[in-house]
Amino acid sequence: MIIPSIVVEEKAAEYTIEDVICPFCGCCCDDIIVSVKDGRIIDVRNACTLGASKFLHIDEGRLLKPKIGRFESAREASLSEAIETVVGLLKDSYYPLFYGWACTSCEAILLGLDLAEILGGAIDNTSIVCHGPTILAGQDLGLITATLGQVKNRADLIVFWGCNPLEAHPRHIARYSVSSKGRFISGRRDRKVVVVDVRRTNTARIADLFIEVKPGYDYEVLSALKMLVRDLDLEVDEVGGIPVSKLEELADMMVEARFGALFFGTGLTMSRGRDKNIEAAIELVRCLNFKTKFVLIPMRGHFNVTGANEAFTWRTGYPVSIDFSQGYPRYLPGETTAVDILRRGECDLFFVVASDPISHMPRRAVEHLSNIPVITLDPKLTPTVYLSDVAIPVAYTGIEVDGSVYRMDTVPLRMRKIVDPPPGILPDTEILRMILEKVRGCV
Amino acid sequence: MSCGDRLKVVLITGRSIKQGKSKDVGKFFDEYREAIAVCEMNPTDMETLSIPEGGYIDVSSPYGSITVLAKPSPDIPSGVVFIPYGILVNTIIPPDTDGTGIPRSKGLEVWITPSAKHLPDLKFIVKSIGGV
Repeated sequence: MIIPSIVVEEKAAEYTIEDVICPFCGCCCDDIIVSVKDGRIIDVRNACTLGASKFLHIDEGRLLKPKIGRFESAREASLSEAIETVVGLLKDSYYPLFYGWACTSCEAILLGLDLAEILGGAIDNTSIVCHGPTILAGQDLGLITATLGQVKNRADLIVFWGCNPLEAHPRHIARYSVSSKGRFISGRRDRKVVVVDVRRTNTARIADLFIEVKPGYDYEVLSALKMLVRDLDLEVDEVGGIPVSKLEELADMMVEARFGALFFGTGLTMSRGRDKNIEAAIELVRCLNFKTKFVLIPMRGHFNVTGANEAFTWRTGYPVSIDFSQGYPRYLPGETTAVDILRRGECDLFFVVASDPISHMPRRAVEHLSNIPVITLDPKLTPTVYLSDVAIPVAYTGIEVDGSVYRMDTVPLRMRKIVDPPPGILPDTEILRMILEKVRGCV
Repeated sequence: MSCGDRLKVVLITGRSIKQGKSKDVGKFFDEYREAIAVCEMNPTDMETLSIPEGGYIDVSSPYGSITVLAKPSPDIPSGVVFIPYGILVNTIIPPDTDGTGIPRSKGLEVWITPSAKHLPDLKFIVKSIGGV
C-alpha cells in the first residue's frame, strides 16, 4: 500500500507525488516530482539527467529472480533456497567481508553490521574508494564545515577543487551553490566561483576564475595558498604549473570573501597525496578562518554513502573498514580496508549489498573473487551480480522502499516509497533480517 | 613523452555525465559500454600518434591493457588523458593503497598506442575476473 505524503493530482491509477528525495548522488535533492501510472513511473520533474535516468529506468536490466551459480551456468532459485544457500556459505566461512552499503538505507546497513559482528568478519563501505582519505584527514585535524543550507544562504565565494559538479552532481550548482538564491545572497551575481582542476571541465566554463593544476600537485598548491593567506612570500615563480600571480589572485579572493565554501572531490582524494591533500585543504581553511569565515564540504557520490559512515560510527565508533575478527571492532586503514583485504586474498567470502565492486575496484584486487564464494543483493543485473554464486534481487531504496539516508553535509533525510517493487521482490532489510535470524540460530 | 608509436601520458579517471546516466539503465547495455570505453585526449597528442577521430587506442599500465575509443578534447592538457570510471579503466589501476585504503585512481602514468582491436565485451571481462 503506497501512502504518498502529498498527492497533488489523483486519478484512477494515476498519481503525482511531490517532494520526493532523489536516490542518485549525495545532493539528495528533495524537490523531485514523480508521476505514476498503473504502478509505473511515467514522468519525473525537477531531477537532473542522472536522477531522472534512475527513476525512469528502474525496470530495465532488472534482476527479477534469485539465482544460484556464476555466469551462464546460473539457474533460477526460489527465495528460500537462495537464503538457505547464503546461510550455508556464511556458516562455512572463517572471515567473510561485507561490502557496499552506499545505495541503501541506514536500516539495512545496521543489519549488515550485525551480520559482520556475529560472524567475526570484516565490513566496509564504498567511501573507502572515494572519500576515505577525507575521513582520515578529518580524524587527524577535524573538518570546518557547514550545511548546504548555510552555503546557499551565506556563501559569496564558491571554490570547486578536484570536482566537476556539472557532471557528477548537476543540481548542486542551482540548488546549493553557484546560482542558488539564499537569505543573504540573491544568486549568481552575488557570488564569485573558482574551479581548480587538472583539466578544463564543464564546471570550469561557468567559473569566474579557472586554475589548471598539474596532475599530482594539489598538495603543493594548497600549501602555497596557505602561505599567501598568512602573508608569507613565495620564493618561486610558479607552483604546480600555476604562476604565483594567479595564486595571489585566488588567495585575495578567499580572504576578501565574507563566507567562502571549498567543495572538493576525488580530484584530491584519489591523487598523489590522498589524505595529505585533504589535510592541506583543511589547514588552508583553518588559516582562512583567522581572517574571514570559510568552510569545506566533501562532494559525496552515492546518495547514502555519508549515511554508511554515520551508521558504522553509531555501532562501532569507526566510519569505515571495521574488522570484528577479534570479537570487537578494529579499524586499521590499509589493513582492514576492503581493497587491501581483497588484494591480499584474506577473506574467504565476499558479501555485497547495493554496490558493484567488480566495476569500481582495481582488477588486481577483485581477481581474488575467482577463489571464493560471492553473494550479492542488488536490484539490477550488474557485473558483480553476473559473477556472484548467489544473487538475490531487492527493491530500490528511495523508490520502492522507504529508509533513512544522510545528505553529503550529514543532514538526515527520510526517503519514501513511490511504487511497489516487482512481484516477489523484497527490500534488502527483509532479506538481511531473514539471513540474520538463520545465522543467529547457527552460531 | 613519445617513443616510436607510443606516448606516455598521465591518466585521470572520473565521473562523466554519460557514464552516470547509463549506469542506471544497465551495465550490460551498449550505452554504458560506450560511455566507459572512451578516452578523452588533447588533439595534439592524437596527431603525434596519428590517431584519427573515432580511432581505437590501447591504454597500458604495468597492471594490464585496455582498448578504448580516442576522443579529441581541447579541454584536456597535452600529456593528460581522461577515462570515465568503470570496469575497463579499473583493469589498469594499481591495487596498492599505501596504507590509506584507497587506490590511486588519478595520476597514473600509462602508455598509449594506436590499436586495431575493437571494444571488448564486458561480460567477457567479468568472466576473466571470475576465473573463466
